[in-house]
Amino acid sequence: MNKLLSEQDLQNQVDKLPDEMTPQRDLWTGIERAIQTKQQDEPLFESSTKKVFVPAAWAASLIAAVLVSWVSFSPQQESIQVVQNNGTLLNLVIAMQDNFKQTKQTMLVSFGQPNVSELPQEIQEELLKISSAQKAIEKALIKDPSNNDLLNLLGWTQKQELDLLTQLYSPKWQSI
Amino acid sequence: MNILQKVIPMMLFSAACSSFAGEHIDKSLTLKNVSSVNVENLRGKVTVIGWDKNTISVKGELEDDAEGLIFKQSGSSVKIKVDLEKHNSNFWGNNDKGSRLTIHMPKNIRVSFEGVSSDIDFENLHASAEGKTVSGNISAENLSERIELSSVSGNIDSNQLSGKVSLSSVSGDISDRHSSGRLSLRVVSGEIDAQSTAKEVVIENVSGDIRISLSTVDELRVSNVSGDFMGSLSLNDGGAVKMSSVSGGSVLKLQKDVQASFRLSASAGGDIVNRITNQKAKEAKYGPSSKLRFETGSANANVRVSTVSGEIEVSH
Repeated sequence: MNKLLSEQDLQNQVDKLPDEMTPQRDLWTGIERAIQTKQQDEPLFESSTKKVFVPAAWAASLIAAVLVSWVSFSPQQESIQVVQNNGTLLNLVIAMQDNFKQTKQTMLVSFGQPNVSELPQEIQEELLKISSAQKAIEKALIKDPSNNDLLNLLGWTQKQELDLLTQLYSPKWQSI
Repeated sequence: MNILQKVIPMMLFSAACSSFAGEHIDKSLTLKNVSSVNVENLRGKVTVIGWDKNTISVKGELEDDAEGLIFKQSGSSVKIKVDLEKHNSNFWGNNDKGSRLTIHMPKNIRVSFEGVSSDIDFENLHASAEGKTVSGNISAENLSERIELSSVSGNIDSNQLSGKVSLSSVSGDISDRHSSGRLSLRVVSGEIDAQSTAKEVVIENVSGDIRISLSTVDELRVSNVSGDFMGSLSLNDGGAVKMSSVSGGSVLKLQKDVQASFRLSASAGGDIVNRITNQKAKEAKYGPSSKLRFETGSANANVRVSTVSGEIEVSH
């Protein structure tokens, strides 16, 4: 019986219960605050990620750029430098040749422009040997333009040719 | 008047030329305040010997085409010149037909010689000697101070030269024995064979071969294009060897206890052979170059040898 009553009583009590329950305090304020906080938190989280990510990206880009430049351009710059240096040294060789030709021409003019082909065969052969040596040195200098020893040798062989022409055509022997 | 015009030049000419064609020469001159003797002879052979007397003596025979011998003091120098006929068509001439002279002069006076096909012998001269000829041979013995001898196609044969010695030839060979001081040898296609005690040695060569035996050396520099170099020496403490070649080989033999830093390099296909230590040359990862660096003892001397495509060998 107690059980039936109690069931009825329970049902009654349930029926008496209001369909809605109003909280004792206004929860919406808290919910609203929580939603706003979350909304604020999310951008905050994003911005801190950006704070780390963006400089890291810049640094990585910079490093990548430096590495790419170093790998790609540095050897080229070096080779450009070498080419420039070699170019300068080759210009030096060309200048030496030009200077030598000019000196030789001036010398021959001062000797009355003699015909070298009228010289004895053995001396013509010597002149040819000196000339061949100069060509061999010049050829070697194209491969190794920074070789000072070769530059000195070239200068020496040029001097040998000029000395020989001086010896052959100097007035002391020509007055004979 | 006409007679005088002809006679006076003849008398002047006779005064200048005290000797005549084909003649035997036996002349002497006592010297006063003379510092140099200059000799010129186109072809033949001239021997210059230093002695202790204060006179110059010239003996020998002039060639048939000679007009005479100029032998006179001018200022502080004495000139000795074989004067040939003007407009002589035989400019080059046969050296066997040339004048043959022997000159004795004070050994402490400078001497210079210039010729074309004439041979020159210098002996016992100690105040610098300079000799230049085109196809003539040069012989030099017991000279000191500054010595400069050069020929184009002639050979140079020297013995006991000391001081600053410079020998050069285009296609002639150079043979030097017992030189000392500073030695400089240069050839284009001739060969060099030297046994020297010089402390400083410079060799420049285009295509000739070089064989050199040195004793104790402070500095050796060799520039070589395509000839082969073979040398032995004992490198002093603090000394330096610097050799470079293009395609020529460089074989260097050093003393057993050499204490040096070695840097050997071949830039385009050359080989490096090390017979001093066990270290081998390292070949470049890319390209045909190779390098070898090693040290022996206290490494206070330097050995630098470089080649483009030749072979380098260092050994004891």
